[in-house]
Amino acid sequence: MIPFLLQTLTFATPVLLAALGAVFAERAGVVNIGLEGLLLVGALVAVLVSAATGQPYLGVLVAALVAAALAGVFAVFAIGMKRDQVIVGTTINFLALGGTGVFYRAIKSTGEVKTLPVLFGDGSTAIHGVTLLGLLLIPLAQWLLYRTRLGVMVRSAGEKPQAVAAAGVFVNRLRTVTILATGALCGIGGAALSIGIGNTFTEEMTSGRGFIALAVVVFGRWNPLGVLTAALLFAAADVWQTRLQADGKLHIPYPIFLALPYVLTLLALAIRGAKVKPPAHLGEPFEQG
Amino acid sequence: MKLIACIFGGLLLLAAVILAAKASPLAVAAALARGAFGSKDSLANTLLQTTPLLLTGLGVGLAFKGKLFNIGAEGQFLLGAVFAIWAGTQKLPAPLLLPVALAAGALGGALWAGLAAALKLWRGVQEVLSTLLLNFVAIQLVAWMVRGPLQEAVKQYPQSDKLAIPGRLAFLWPGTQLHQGFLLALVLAVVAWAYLAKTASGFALRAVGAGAEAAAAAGISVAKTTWLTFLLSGALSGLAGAIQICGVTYFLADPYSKGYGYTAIAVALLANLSPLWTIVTALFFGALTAGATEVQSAGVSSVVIQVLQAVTLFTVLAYSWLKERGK
Repeated sequence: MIPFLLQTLTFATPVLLAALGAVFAERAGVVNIGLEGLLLVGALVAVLVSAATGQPYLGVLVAALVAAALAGVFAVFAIGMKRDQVIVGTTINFLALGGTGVFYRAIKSTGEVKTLPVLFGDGSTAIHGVTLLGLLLIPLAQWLLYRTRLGVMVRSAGEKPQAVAAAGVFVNRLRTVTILATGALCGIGGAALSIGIGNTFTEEMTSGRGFIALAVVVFGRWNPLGVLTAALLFAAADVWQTRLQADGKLHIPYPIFLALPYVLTLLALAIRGAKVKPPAHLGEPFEQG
Repeated sequence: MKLIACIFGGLLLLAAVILAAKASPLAVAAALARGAFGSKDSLANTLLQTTPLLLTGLGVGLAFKGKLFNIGAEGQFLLGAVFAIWAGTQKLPAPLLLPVALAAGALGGALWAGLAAALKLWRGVQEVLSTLLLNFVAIQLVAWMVRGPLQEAVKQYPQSDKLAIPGRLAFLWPGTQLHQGFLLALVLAVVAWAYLAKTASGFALRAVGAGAEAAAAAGISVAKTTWLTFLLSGALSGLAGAIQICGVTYFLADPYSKGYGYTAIAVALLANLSPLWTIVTALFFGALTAGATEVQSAGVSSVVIQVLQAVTLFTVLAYSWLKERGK
């Protein structure tokens, strides 16, 4: 049971971090389909920096910065130019998918990759610092969102942007900050995937985790604790499917196992369905008066 | 002027990416042109790649026009391929084989898109999420099909049996692989244009896209229009998958798509969601896809095409912004 829980925590980390960022961005009124690409870029940068310097935590840091920069591109188009957020996010995914592929193949070999040091546990149940960071960020995010002035502003920016603007808050500036934070968190999440769970980068290694993170935000009702619960549930399904598969006792073809996390996510969304209400102005550009 | 500035900016950005990957932008451009137009074969290949992009692009464009962010053309394409090869390997009279396979493909795509429609209308699930997630399910579905229910009779490789010859699309250009599916796609682009511009149902689609509340106030059934838009959009992508089976590969393998359904988003957006312009943009991306194989000879991975797609879209977005601001 304990190994199962530890492994679930490790598996949940990339999705959790991405979703945590998205909670703030979506609460502020921005939907970013580009999480997948941001995670992917984080994963590649972490591997490259860790291999080049032998410092995995430096890899995490640079991954956060580069992914935040890419999120900045999203902000320029989605906030600055007020283009459709879904379209800009999709474009970010194209750029990340192609860009990481081009660079990774140009480099070919990264040399030895130093993975994140294990804090406790071992093998597939190892817990590393980034997972711990993710867990610590939950209460922090909960506090930020519900107990601070900044949190009130973020929540209002997605619900009543006009009112916040009238109170003298620059809504678009606030939204941009949440997007950059999302980028940084996705960068760290990507690092957790490539040098935390694994020890290398492979093309398309995020395999939909960014999209699952978006679903986790909906399922977690746009709040940090809910997101933690949802991310753990989906990670548990993922761990469960890998274990069943390794077990080999159930004679179910492996593609069905691999489809399981996506099918469960869809089912969860369908069950939660009409009961959850997104921020009123989610996805709408805002014109500061 | 603004357009030229945007295109120039996009090209500069692209050149920077290629230089960063330690290759020559000019060599990459030359390789692209050679791969897309350099010979009879490469020209035919450009048209061959255009075909699925045009159909999926039409599907995506139709949905977006109705303000439905169907990002699931990839999954709908795959379901079309699965349905087509399943129908095409049944014991049917020879003349029925091709039409039944193509129709089955369209049905498969429509069903997959219909799932997203049902989730949206009945359970309030955003189609952006459901269609994306369904893409991943479809990929695994193909992987399972070619190892299970649809695996070839000899059970040697993870692939399906081959489609019998009467089920295949005839060649269009002797000596090349170009098949009649290309013409079918062109015809459907005109049909899609006529549907949007000339029919009541097409008008309803555009009206709902322009504003669901106003459309409802004008007596248009939003739910019915949403269903129809999803189904038509999915059917076009499904047909693309079926045409790929009946005209190019003749069997299902894993993985099956080259990401046509994702490129379709760029194809549709670059065309500003107009069906007739989609012919032009599909040709553009078709040439890029065909040229991609040659790009490797210039020292860059063929996935540079995805970067090119992204840069193209950013250019279009920046241009639309400049145009709006200029008014």
